Amino acid sequence: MSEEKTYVEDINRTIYDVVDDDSDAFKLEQGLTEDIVRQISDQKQDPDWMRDFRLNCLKLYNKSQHPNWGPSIDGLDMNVIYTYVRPNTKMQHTWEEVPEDIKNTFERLGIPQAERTSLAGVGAQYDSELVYHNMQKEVEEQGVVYCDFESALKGKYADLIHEKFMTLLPPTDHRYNALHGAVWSGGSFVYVPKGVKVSVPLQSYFRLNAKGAGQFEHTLIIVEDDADLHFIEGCSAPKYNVANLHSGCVELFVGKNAKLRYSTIESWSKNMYNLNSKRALVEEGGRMEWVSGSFGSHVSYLYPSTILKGDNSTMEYTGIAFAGAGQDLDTGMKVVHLGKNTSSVVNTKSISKDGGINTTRTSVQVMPQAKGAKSVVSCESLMIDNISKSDTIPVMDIRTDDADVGHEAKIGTISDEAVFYMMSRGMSEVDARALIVSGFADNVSRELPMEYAAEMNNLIRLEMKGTIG
Amino acid sequence: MAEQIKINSLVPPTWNRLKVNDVTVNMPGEKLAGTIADDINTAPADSKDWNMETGCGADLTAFLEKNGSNPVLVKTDGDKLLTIKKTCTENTADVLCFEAGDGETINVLTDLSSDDSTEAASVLRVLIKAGKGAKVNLAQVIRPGKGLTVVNDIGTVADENAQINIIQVFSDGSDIYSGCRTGLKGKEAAAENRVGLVRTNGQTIDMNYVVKHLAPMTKADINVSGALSKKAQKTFRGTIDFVRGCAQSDGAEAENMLLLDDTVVNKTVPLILCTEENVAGSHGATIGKPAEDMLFYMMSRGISREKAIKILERASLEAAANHIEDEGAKQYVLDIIAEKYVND
Repeated sequence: MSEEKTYVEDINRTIYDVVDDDSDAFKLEQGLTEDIVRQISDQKQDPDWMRDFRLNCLKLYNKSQHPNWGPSIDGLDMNVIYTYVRPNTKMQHTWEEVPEDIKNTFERLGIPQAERTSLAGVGAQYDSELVYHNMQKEVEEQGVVYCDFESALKGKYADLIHEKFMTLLPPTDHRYNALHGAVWSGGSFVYVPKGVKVSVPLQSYFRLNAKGAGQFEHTLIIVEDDADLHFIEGCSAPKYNVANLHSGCVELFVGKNAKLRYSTIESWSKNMYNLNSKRALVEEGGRMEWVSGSFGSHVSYLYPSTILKGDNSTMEYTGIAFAGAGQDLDTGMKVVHLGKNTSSVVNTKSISKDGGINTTRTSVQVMPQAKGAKSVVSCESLMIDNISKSDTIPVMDIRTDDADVGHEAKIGTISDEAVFYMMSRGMSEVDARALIVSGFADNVSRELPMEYAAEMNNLIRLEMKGTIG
Repeated sequence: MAEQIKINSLVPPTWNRLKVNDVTVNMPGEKLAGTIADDINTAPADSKDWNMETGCGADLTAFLEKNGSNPVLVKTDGDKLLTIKKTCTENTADVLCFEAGDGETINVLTDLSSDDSTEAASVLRVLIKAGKGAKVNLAQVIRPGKGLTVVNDIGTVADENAQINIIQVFSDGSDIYSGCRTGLKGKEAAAENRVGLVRTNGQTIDMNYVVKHLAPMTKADINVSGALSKKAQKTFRGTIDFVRGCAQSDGAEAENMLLLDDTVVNKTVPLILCTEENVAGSHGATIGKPAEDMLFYMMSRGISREKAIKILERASLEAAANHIEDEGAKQYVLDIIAEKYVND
């Protein structure tokens, strides 16, 4: 059969690349100084403890270094990043009240439509602030709280937030947690009371519109004992010729016998540095599920981590990363087994093409007290051409005999035999290869709600669309 | 005064908090004597010709250049087994170079040991060049006493159709640092690394094994099996690196570790690096306690649990030893293992 290669097109990003005029937005000056951090704090009308926290984080940031591992971020200069950009609108509770151009952007991204058909609540952040937040009345009546982070910080749950804020992701962990602690803005707070099962997902969508800006939203979710929630996070930005930065933090507390699924479809533009941190703490019998699709950004450092603190707690991670031209995606996951009879199941897939670089970095730690722990990790990588790169860097640190840990990793290319089989049944080579890649990613799309699975499959199909030659 | 060197570096590195990116070893800050060359047929080796990358890495090279003995080219008698026994009684450093010409086969066995009263450090570096169609079989037994720190380092290069098989048996005793780096630079070159290890009583083993696939249709197989007990610590870094141009190459890593109590620390870091599309790379690891049904089976036949565990330890070593190709070398190693477990 032909040895010709499939030419794979870049993603069609039309819906993501529309830029809104931001001339009427309020921007703080570029860079990161104590004065800028104080101004952000003023803009947010922070309580005193938060202002002090921000300033301490800035000191930590200034003392810290970029990690000595991972992709280069030499193209990111904090001195030219706008850390705070506020659109010229307040947060609204109906789409009609959202300014026309911003509303149109979210319409193109399908957010209001999804809210009408398949979501229990939506938060939409535009640059540094939320522009829309709403939740179904029935869900609210169950006692579920879903609001913008700034409101939560001053409302009924202020003490709870003070107690939990950046305790799972302390600013001492690494440089970008410290940065986030200093300049965070926006994000969501979710509280699901004991025993409440939210049958329809909530979604936050983060849109970064301003050229050269950073987005630093904070998401804090508390799912109390026996409760159940599916939270979806989406993100995108138009492409610019300067660096943009995303450094959000996601802290998730999963109570006894509670369940939280956190799904992300990330489609940042290819000038974005995505230095994001996510961590979940799971109590006895609780379950944490991560579903992660990474398609965008120029450089990503993204490793959702889970602490299985309670006995019989479980975690499942399903993730895919698709790196094309100009992309260096360092993604993966971390899990620490502390409780007895805890289990983790990890399934990662990566696809590299057009010179894209994928690094799948994982760690599984089983501590001495985690008797009966079980962990299964599977990493699969697909190389579409020989100008790309795919690395797998797993670490297993096992400190008890009473554990059962399995790991397997595979790397390969699209099988000529499989392509030949499909072509012999009338399929074109292009379609055959696209179908194989879609099948490769099937385990992720199966875990997403229909609309999001369709979006992900569409992204893959667009990536794989091309001609022979 | 002791000198600290960093060896077994992970490339590329990962999270520092996991403490797997390298290991620091205390070495004597004095000139170390080479003791092997006196017992075998050697000739001086030109350092420039043997400037090869190894598993332990550049810091060890610098240390050896400063404190070690000069490399020697070891002469072998065709494919006749060359057995090199080294019983350490003092600080030593040896750099042995082996060259198998086109189509040649060489069989080498090294046996490094010490008694429990020896407090010393021993460095053994083995460098191997395998010409076209050559075959090098290296078997190593390392069985240090309680006070010997062992640094065992290997660097190899395999030309077209060459094959390098390295089988290592690490028995308990004291800390072992082991590195091996293989460059498969010729088309259809192949390498096998097989390690059997037992660690107990707080002993450390730190390993860094790297295979670079540099040419098409090369093949590598790294296999580690072993048993850990009583505060033993093991770190295994295994890297299969598919370099652009090594189309149709195949690299596999497998690890099977028995953890015999909850005082041990087992770290496994199996990297697969790839810049070539048409390759097959895989890694599989099974880490945990012995299967209860297997222990039950043995205990139901009158074997105590303690003895059953000793049988499993011995099996870990024998599993590797059984892959030694040269029958004489294989029997030599199996006899050592049998002697070790004679009372169990």
